[in-house]
Amino acid sequence: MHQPGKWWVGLLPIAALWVLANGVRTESVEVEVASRAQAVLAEAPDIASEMKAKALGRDVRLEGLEFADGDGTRMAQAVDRANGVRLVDWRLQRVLPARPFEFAATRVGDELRLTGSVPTPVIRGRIVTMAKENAGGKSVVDALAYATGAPNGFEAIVAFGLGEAAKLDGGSFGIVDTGYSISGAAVSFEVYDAAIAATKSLPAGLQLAHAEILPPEIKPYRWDASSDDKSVTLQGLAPSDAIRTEIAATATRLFSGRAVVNRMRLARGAPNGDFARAATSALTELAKLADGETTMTDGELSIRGHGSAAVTNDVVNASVRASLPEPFKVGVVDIIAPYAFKIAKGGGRVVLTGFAPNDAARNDLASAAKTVFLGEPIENELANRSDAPAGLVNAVKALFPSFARLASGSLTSEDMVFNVEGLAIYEKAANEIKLELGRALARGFKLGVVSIGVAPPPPLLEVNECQPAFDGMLSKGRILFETGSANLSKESLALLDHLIELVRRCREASIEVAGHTDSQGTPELNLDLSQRRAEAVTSYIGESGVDTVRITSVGYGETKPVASNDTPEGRAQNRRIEFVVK
Amino acid sequence: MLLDLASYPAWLVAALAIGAVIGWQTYSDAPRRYWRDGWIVWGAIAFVIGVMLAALKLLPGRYGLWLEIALLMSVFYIVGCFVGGWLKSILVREPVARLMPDVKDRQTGSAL
Repeated sequence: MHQPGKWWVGLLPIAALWVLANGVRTESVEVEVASRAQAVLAEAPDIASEMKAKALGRDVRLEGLEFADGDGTRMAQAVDRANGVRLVDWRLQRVLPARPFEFAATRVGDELRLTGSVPTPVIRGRIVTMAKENAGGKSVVDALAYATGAPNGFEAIVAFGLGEAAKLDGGSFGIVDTGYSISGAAVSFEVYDAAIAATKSLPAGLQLAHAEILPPEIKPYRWDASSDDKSVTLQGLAPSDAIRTEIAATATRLFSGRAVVNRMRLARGAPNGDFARAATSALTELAKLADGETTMTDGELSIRGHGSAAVTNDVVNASVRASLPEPFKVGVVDIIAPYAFKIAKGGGRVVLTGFAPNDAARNDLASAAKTVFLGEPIENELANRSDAPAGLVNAVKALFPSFARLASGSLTSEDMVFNVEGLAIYEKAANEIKLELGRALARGFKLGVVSIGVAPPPPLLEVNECQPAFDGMLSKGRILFETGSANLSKESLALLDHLIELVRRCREASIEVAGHTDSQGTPELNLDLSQRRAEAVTSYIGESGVDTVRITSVGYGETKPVASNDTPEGRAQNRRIEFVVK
Repeated sequence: MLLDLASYPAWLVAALAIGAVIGWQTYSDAPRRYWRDGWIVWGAIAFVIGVMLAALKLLPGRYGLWLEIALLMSVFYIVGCFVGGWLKSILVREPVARLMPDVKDRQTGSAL
């Protein structure tokens, strides 16, 4: 017969067994319960992936993040239905909105680091996957935190940004609310253009906050410009948009009236130094040329083109060396400038400028000028340049007598072409000078523009001022004739024209043109020759349009010497024409 | 509760075994004391209270688990006691009763 009243004796070993069982098995039961709860959570990753189940006995506590109101309740109910779970409670932290909502994907070293906020675990997972696809071999570091408040289309925005940043070396992007920023270096012009274009077509709702996209690095670094009479074309590389704009503006200013074609591209790798100033220096020289090109390759500047009389190789070389900033260097300067010469008469002086082949030629030209320009001071500013056209010096000298007849003007040459402009003393002289210039022109040379007018009549002189004026003029030169004849020498026409000017100014004076000879030959022949020479001068004056009624021609032969006829110098002084105011 | 059964099978069997031993040892022909005497009442009251606590899940965490295990072990123990007593009633008394026919069989056999 059972004796329940005695069964209490077994309670002690049962109690011991209970204590032992609890001590041995409790933790493993808790592990099992937590595992079952975790399995339930895993079935709802969109809301429960940041939840964690902990078990105490068969009771479960849910901890972690709740992304939306009610998520905790729903998951607790689901876990509560799991086999083995006795009770469920939850202590979940509600994910809060981020103000502002920030996200960034930054390439640092070998890492693509994701920082900022992400709204849900599902989006986070997809973003990390996208980041790995766009990491380009870099490891993806997920340092994101959960927050609500993401802009609309956040996932698409991140996909766009990751894709764009992946195209760039060191590409990074980020958003602050709807402000989009991107940085990195393009490896080619195509990538650069595409990246810049992408910043102008952002996903809907996104605004560009900051773009720091570096252009590709190019070696050798070349910039160049070329010009003609219609346009200037800027090409090659510029280190920044600001410098590119500055260079274009400089070209517009320097090449006023010409079209500026800007084809410069941005690129890194420019030489150190003030690139814009170097380009300005190059453009300044280029603007001086009729046409040409300038190239700057890795800091070495070269200029080629056609200059002008004033813009020669040496001028451009000196100018560019003076203006080019360090560390830029001058390379080839190859300016083809016309071989220019100019003689200008006016203001009581004669100025020679331009080039002569050498010192001897310079002195020769100055000496010839001194002979024909009636004692006017000669300012010789000629420079030596050896590549003169053949026969230039003689060609110039041949034109001097005709040019000297002008009251004022200039004779210029560029290579083989002469141009003359000026004012003749009287109209007939103007026509004669034009003809004489043509006749005196050396073979191979051409006359370009010949523009000769007539100078306005100078003020009249009082009669008592006339004799000193004639004497002064004749002291500057002598009227010469062909040997033994009364034919006027061409070299004397300039002097005669200036004497005609004085005759015109001495309208009230009666003038005697007196001819004299030396003692060579018979007195009768000398008397006749002096008479014919005086008449020839008077005739020349008359041909200029001056009324010669008040002019008498008298030949004195050898009767009035002013120097000894025993020496050549004395005889030369005795062969003369004098203007005597009566 | 099923998890408890699945997680503590050996321990519950041990409780059953202890009950069987106690039931075997205490099984006797002595007159049974009145059931309300001794520990039975208080034990039953404690068990009922324990069941209520467990059913209502009033004890939290490990205490709740341990209570369930205590109740299960108690049940297995009591069942073990009955099983032990029953086995003794079968295995100990029945052989005595069966000896008699064996004697008779031998007597019958010898008679044959």
